[in-house]
Amino acid sequence: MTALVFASIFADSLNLNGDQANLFVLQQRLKWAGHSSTIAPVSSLAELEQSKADFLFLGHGSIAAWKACEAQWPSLAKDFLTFSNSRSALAVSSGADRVLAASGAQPAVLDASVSEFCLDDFDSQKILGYKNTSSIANSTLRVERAILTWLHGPVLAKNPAVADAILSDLLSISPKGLANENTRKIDEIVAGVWHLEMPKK
Amino acid sequence: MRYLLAILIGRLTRVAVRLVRPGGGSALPGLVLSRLAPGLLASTLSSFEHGLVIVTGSAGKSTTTKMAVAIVRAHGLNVFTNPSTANIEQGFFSAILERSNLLAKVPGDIAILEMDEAHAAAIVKRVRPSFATILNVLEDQLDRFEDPAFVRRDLALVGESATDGVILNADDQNILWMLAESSGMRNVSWFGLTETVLAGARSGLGTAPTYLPQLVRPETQTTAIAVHELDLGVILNSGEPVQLTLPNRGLHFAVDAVAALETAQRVLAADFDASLAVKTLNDLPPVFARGEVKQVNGEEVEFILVQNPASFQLNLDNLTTKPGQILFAIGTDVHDPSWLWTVDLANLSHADVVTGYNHAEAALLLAYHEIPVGSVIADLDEALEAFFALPEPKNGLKTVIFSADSMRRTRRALGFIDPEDVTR
Repeated sequence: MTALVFASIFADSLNLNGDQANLFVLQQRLKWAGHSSTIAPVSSLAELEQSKADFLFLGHGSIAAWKACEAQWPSLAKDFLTFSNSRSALAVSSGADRVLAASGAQPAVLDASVSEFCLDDFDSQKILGYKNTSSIANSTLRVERAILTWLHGPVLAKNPAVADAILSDLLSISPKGLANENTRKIDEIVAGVWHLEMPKK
Repeated sequence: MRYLLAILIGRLTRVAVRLVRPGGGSALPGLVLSRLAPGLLASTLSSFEHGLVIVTGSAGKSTTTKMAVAIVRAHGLNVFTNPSTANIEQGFFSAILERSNLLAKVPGDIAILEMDEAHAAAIVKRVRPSFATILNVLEDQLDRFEDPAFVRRDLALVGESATDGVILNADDQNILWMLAESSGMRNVSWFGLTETVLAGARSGLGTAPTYLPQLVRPETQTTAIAVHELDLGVILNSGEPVQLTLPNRGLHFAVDAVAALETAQRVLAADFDASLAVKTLNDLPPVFARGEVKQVNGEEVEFILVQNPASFQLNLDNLTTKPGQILFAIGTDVHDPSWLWTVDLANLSHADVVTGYNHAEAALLLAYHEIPVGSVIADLDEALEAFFALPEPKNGLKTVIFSADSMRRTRRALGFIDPEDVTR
């Protein structure tokens, strides 16, 4: 049994659309596969280093939340990128936007009043969810070992293949090694979610 | 005479819709009327002798409005109001259509309307209310409102437009900041809960965090000083203590009650009769589907509406008994079901039937939380049939937890077509 540590940056503030549920999804899938995990809330580089995290998560926040978080940790997007040079990480929506900007690339024009269901290509598979911008061609991309997605909310719940790709990378096992009765049940339900949303595309 | 044709066409539309869908169809006639006579809303809302009272904010609008309307009516005024949840512009047009004569004259001494935050901000540019009651700001409908700061901005426009007074919630920092950042509001008074009462809320009141420095809470004029189950103790703005019974359990209903009482005291001024107000609230049935218990097939069934993270959380926190059987229905109104994942589901023991347009999203949420589910049935009518065919639970009630769209469809399917047909 492996015990993983998931660090979450400003977990309470950057959870505008239920983004933190992505860590819950990873934890549940790990538990079902017989492994354990803990979540380390971090609000500074020192706390991140102290956490000895295997994986780093950055969510989506309101304008005021970001202002408060960045006042406390001005280099958080850059530190996120540095972390993801060597370990895997996930940033969603406005979190992804800030990390992309820190990488020197042009961030998307975020418009949270856009809540558009989309289906895109990612890592030779499909990924679906709700995005807050129509100014990017593809909702999800990789920068270093980080997955940046402009899909918000519980992205990994609706995309179990992406969740298992993260976990299999962390555990150095095949995604097939994570399959069990619970994940099969989830797969069936997710098929229903995809079926419901696909005709809109 | 100006609006005669528009009123006639609107009424014909209403008759046609009701022939096709009994109990439904208030939206389309209102929409038709709003297109044919856009100026009718402002002229109607400006026509009441005692003016217009707007009740707005993220949550609690329906219950607060219903309470304030009941108190003001009990004092002898004829009140024009809108049905629960019909709180956007076309809903007001529908309400006008329902109540007006052919010359578009709506009888009444005063209008007390619940208004969606964005629609209220737009409407006050055309009609200035006499009073505005502003309840709260939640992280709600983010696909529409984008950010709680923008909701505060809309609410400030409403407060600034009120000519006689503004009634505000002292326990929401968003409201304090809204006032601080506004260009000024006339004759502000406050309602709220004592610190002790607030401490009893398991998950707080669910208001959106501001991430701004904490402002000093103002002194409240109408205050809830004790809440136990349905019993509520209040100090009125005259200093008089009163005791009343809430229509539903839950601290959010106590907030609604003090908001309504403060509103009624401001509107009625010297005519306000505390004992009459208390008697009125004691007799008031809940707004439909807010903890409403009704007989279905000879069995008592509880209906709980969830519209946003706070209402879902507060309703789950206030389940006094474990529901015997649960139907969980999330409909098309939940455009983006992501917010469901922000709710602590510890009190949701199981769901016998999961349904609604977003049945798969709902089932996914429950599956990850390892909450046992009996069956997932996409079609709501079939789901209702299956749920009500279950034998009566040995403990607890059959409980229906639904979003607004599923609520409307469920009520129609069960024949509850009169929104006012709700009893304690």
